[in-house]
Amino acid sequence: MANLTHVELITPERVLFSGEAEAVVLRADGADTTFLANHMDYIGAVDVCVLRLEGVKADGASGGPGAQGEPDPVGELRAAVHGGFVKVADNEVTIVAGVAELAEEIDVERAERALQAAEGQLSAGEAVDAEAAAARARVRIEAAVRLKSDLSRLSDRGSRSLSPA
Amino acid sequence: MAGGQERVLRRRIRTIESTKKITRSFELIAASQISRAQGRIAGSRPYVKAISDILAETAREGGSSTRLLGIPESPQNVLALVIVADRGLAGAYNSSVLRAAERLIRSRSQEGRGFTVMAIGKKAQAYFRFRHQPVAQQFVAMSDRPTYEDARRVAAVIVPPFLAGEVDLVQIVSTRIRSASSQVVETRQLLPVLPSPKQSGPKPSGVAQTAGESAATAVSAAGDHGSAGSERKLGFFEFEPDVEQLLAQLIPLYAEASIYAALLEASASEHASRQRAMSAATENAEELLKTLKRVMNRARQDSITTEIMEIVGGSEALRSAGDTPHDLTHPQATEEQNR
Repeated sequence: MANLTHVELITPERVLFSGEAEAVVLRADGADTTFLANHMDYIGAVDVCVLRLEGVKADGASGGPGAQGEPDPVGELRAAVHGGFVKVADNEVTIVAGVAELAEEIDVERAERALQAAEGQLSAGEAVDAEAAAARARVRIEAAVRLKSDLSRLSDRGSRSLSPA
Repeated sequence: MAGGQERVLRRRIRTIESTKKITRSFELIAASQISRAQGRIAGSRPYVKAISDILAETAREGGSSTRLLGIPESPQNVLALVIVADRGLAGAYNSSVLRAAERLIRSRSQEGRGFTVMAIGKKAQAYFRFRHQPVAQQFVAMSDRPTYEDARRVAAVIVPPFLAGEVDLVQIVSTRIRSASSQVVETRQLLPVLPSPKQSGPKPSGVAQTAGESAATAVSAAGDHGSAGSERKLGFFEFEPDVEQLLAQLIPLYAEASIYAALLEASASEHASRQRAMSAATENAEELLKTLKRVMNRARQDSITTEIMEIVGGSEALRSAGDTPHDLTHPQATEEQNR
């Protein structure tokens, strides 16, 4: 049985995700970082990045680890995180972000349009915000598109459901 | 004449009835907004708590940067953020916040300190303009349904001067919710950050109460907080980047979260006061209608009585005229007919 760590992804409007995962992958302070179970206590700044949870088990599925026996890792959960902070304590990873979106909720076409607009501005030498906007759009697309390719790969391979929730 | 009075009364009753309809619908709208606003407060609570936790943890490590933390002993430049509504019809909601702000301004200016006012809500604009109090920055169209984006815009104006050292103390004057039926105007320190968990503790539990939850859950939340605090003393954190840098990045986010929470609470209070004010107005209208209807019925009765009197008097006069037709020219008979 894989060791699990409790993960919460919190935005001002709501708690986007709360549950167990085997690994939490994100980009903190310019470096890709993976948090496994029982990581040491840590506080860090999270960059604009794709947050990846591996071996996800959402809270709604069970009362907690062990309550329903062996957790069944159904796949990965991705979210676009637009900057924030991460805190690890007592085998709990809390990611706090002003803006974050789950991959399945991202509107890829809109993000692509935003990316084009931002790149257009960049090439025209306009607006300092454009770079940040482009980065945000790229992360959105990355999170969403990878989810889609994974989905198709999975459906090619077999009948397993990917949706963690 | 009685008929004229009746008409006037009827018109008044009609206007009051339509006013009552308006106040009633405002009341219902406000009531529906309250529950939505409370839901949003409940939704924002984990975020505010998480940010406060991270900040408290970081602050414990970074005691050296005193300017960003704690209570400034003698603030030279103070910034006050006043949060009121865009619209009236909410009882004393706006005026009590503005009065508190005015008191604060007066006491600060007596101390001879630099004082800047920023205001959220249209009502503050008119109030301060009338009193010739310069307002550095105005925000409108936020109070009804504040979004996190709104809070971000406000924080973007407030935080840089603080980090640059142009402002030593930032205070928020706004309404907080004690319970569903009691709101209190409070002046709180936003920046520098109050670092100790004891001082950041009341905040999340205060928010818990605002959501209209029972005292028991608030107590348990406080208990959780306490136990977490004692556990955390044992562990020490790895910080990345270093604490100073982290603080500088955390403080804007903390300010955004706090402003967001304050906006949400202010908005919920606004809707609650509006609902109370409008339900009182509706009741008043009902009372007034009752009185007016009574007066009108009496007036109508009077006019009917008078009419009957006239008819009876007339027929009486005709009969007596039939008895003695030559008396028709008699002044007494003419008078009776005219009555």
